[in-house]
Amino acid sequence: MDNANIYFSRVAKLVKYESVETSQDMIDRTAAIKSYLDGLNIDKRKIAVGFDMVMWYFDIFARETSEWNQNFGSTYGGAACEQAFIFSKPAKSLLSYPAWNTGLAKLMNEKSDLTLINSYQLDLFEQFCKGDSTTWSYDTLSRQDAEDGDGGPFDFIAIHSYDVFHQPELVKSYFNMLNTGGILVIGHINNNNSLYEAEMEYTPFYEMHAALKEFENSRIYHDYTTAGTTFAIKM
Amino acid sequence: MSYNAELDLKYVESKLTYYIYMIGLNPDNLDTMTIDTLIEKARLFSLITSDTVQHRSYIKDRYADSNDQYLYKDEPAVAFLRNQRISIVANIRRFWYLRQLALGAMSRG
Repeated sequence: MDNANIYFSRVAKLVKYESVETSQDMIDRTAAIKSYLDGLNIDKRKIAVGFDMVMWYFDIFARETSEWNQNFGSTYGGAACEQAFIFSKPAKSLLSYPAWNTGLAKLMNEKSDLTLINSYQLDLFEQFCKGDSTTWSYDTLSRQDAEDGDGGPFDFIAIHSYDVFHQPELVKSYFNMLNTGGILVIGHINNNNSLYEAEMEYTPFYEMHAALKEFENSRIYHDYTTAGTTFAIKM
Repeated sequence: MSYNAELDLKYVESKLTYYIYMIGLNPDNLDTMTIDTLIEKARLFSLITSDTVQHRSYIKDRYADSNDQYLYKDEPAVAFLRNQRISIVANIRRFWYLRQLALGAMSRG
């Protein structure tokens, strides 16, 4: 067992965490998505996709032998967002990445009025992730309307930094769709820990935080574990 | 409501168009462009990369030579330009990829 697996096996002993989705469920649906994407003959040369997580996600998690599927760290990676959802008991929620975290989508569907963003994530979710055992009920919101802040209001919003990477100030549009007391959770925001290095101030990830801090009625918290998660609460 | 591929494609292409203008090309020719052309052009936006700037390991070296003309990775201007380059290349790649996904969805009918 390598150091990462030892570390996470110890973390696993500390928590009482019921994963909404089993590791095998995740591998199965991810493999189905990868098979579909392979059929689209998408250009995966280095010049076309680099080492970008957005474009390699389903390749990484589809393999049962992948290191990412071997330890508790992957299963527990979305726990920070899930905790915030459970703490806040939202009536209305918005999610942008149901194909990446179908377990979270299930929880949000079960415990709140769910809205999903209209993107490739929704398409993949509807094709491969909904399953037969869950009754889904959700609205959709276009990215155009979301970026205009024209949706909601919501009590809980979960997005990825990738949703706003092209224009970091867009976090304000999402924040503006919150009710008072609502929480905006942004995942995958530390860019493999580069957010904590000397050049942090020149990255879009830093700009996202700066934009959120401009609101007088915001409180910003950051969980620096795993891929980094930022929480913006509307006071 | 279900996924709307037309609406998604409209969004993705509006963003891709923005970056194509930014690198000095005409987005009217999007259907005949290649990702190679876009990335090669975007890379000219700044020639500063991790490979082309010097690493400087020790602070004591920083002011050792007043005639030092090199750019170093930890200079703010270098960090700024390098991250601008990373962002523009990443955004073009992502929206190019997302366009392929939306077109794939539309082709399913």
